[in-house]
Amino acid sequence: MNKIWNYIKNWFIEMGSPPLFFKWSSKILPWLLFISITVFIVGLLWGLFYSPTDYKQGDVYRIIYIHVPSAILGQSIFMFMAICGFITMVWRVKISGMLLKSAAPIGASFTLIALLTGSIWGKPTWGTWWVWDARLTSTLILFFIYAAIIGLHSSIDNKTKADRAISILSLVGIAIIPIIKKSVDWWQTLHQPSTFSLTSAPSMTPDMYQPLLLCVLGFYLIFALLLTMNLRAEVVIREKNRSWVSKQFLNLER
Amino acid sequence: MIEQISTIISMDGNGLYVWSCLFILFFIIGINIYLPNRKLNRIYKENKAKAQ
Repeated sequence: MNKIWNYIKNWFIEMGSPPLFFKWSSKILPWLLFISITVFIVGLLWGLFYSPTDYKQGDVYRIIYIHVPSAILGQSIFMFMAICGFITMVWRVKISGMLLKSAAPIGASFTLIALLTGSIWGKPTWGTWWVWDARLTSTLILFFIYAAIIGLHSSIDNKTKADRAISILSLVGIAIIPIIKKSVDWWQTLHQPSTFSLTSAPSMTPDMYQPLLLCVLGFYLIFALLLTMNLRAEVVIREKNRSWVSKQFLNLER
Repeated sequence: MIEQISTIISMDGNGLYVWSCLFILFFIIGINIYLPNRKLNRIYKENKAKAQ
């Protein structure tokens, strides 16, 4: 047990070093690309073509296989960013700041997908593109917080200071997550209750629920892929004048 | 076969909603794949030019 713990600890310490991360990520990236795209596509195909039609909404309910995983990811990425922000503030690990910065545009993208697809789904089911409902409004605020984090980081030239500034913003902004999660319970909303709950059984039948679970997994894997790609770019940008970049990235010195 | 494809495309008259969501998803993920690669390529070219 002690051996495993030491191995995990050493792995985390190694990953904190930009050159080692770059080397390690070069090896796993092709595998991650293959696995994530496979699970993502299989999940979507299963949900869009092979799951049964809903008796109330018809085929338009299939938007759930895009909307729900995107919304879950938009919130999960923010929680991940808050953890990175905490690590940046407390232990000042360089790569956690880079992780935070790299995750922000991906989180903003998935929140935007959730907002747009939710709006499109709202038109045939609610009869309107948008309502100032608690769930929709709090998700829109989450998107604005993401935009503020991206804007704040790009407005500060000193990257260490920028990382610390967005760490604080992500730690403060995390308060929006329980509000989004509980908005459907606290207020009378047009939005349906949470699709996923740890305390109650799913309200969907297994043949609708299983592809949704696979889609969620696929979306998480796509996030891992996008984060690895973004982080590699961020590492190279920040360390471009270091000798390891020429050695590993450019292969100029052999 | 053609009938099956048209049933899938029309999605019970809601095809436009479902397919536009799928388009948005792929478009935004595509941008997220393209942008970091563009950054890496730019630095690669800059550094290569400097080295030469």
